[in-house]
Amino acid sequence: MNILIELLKYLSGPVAIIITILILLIKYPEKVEKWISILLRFFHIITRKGGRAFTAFDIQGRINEFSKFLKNELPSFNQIGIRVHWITEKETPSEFISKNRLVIRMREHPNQNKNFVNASMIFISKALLTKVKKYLSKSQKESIDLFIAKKLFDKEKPAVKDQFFDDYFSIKALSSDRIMQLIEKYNIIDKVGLFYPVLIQELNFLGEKIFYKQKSFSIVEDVKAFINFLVNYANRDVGEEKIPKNFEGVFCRCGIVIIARSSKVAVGDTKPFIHYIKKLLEHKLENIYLIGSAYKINKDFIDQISLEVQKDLNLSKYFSKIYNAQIKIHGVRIETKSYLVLLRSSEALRYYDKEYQKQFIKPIE
Amino acid sequence: MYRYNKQEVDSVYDKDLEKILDGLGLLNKFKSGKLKCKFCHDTISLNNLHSFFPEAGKIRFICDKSNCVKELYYLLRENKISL
Repeated sequence: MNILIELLKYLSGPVAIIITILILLIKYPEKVEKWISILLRFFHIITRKGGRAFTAFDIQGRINEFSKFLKNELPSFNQIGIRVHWITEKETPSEFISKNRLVIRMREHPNQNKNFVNASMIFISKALLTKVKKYLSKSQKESIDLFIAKKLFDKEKPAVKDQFFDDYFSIKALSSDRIMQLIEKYNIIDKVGLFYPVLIQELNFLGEKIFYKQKSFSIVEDVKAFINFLVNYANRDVGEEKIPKNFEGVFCRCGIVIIARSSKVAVGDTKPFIHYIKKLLEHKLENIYLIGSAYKINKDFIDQISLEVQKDLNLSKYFSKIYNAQIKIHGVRIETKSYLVLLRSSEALRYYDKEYQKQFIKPIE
Repeated sequence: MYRYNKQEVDSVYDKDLEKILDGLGLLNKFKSGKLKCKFCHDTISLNNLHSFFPEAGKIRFICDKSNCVKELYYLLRENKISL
């Protein structure tokens, strides 16, 4: 990048501008779409022309940028963008019927917030995180869509947020206790920074699996237990020992290991953790999340455990990240940095046959 | 440039709505208030149109009432309607 900046200094004005635009287009296409939409907006206000282009670029820019944000939060996310396609009057009724596709109505400029909210909700419901929602109950699916939409609109200006809350959030959330309770749970999990990297990540892995015999009810119950476990974790006070610190899912096939015992960290004693992870793997758990403070000594200790289990236990590092978390200390939430490493077993399966399912996919005593 | 797939979302701009409905042979029905919402059966107008889609050889319209939109999302999630 520095070389390019140096090179641009020696180029003439127009060439430098063209090259800069090309670089931006390649590196930040979503931002370019947003800038174009701002220019088109002014053009539309002055000339009353270009309404379609403004509407399309505005929606695409904002949603595609959010999709990029999701990719950063969730490495396994199969990034997908949106492209607004205007249908024309040339389509005959039979062509339209054979295409079998939904057509969204887009209002003229003063109603652009409504357009954006409608398009976003349809995109989130239909195209976003489809694997994540594969095995979930209706309320689990709806609540995840609403919570993700809320996070998208939280980044927007107040008028857009109001539109979303008036048209969707308050109506849907208030219409169902279940949805409201789930949203509240996601909110708590999100406070400690685990909504995307653990909950959504694990649901994504779950959605990739094919079971010989799919017991939807059991999977839904398993997800429910996993959500409750994460809520308990998120609500725990630092140092609180009574709350379970590890989750051994039936279908989720994951284990969470909290690494925060200062006595073990101080002496660098990795053995108890390695031994515990080994035990989890014997139960055919496939994903091990190591979670702890991002404070240097603790982070180094987590990395050390990660390296040792990769070497000895046939696990590979899927991703690691430092993230913001609001942990509880004496009942008060404190903003801090946490560290997470996801280790994935090389034996992780996509298809679970009858024998395997009988032997391993059952509650672990 | 984009390094991921993009989901196309078919859309109709307000200014084009009459032409599109005319092309589909539905403009007269729309103007005379004969098009109804698939879910609540309310009359579809420019004030309340949310979306439309083909189903069983016919074109169905959805109004922007929250319950109707909720039903639409359900059909989308269950893959009964495509984008």
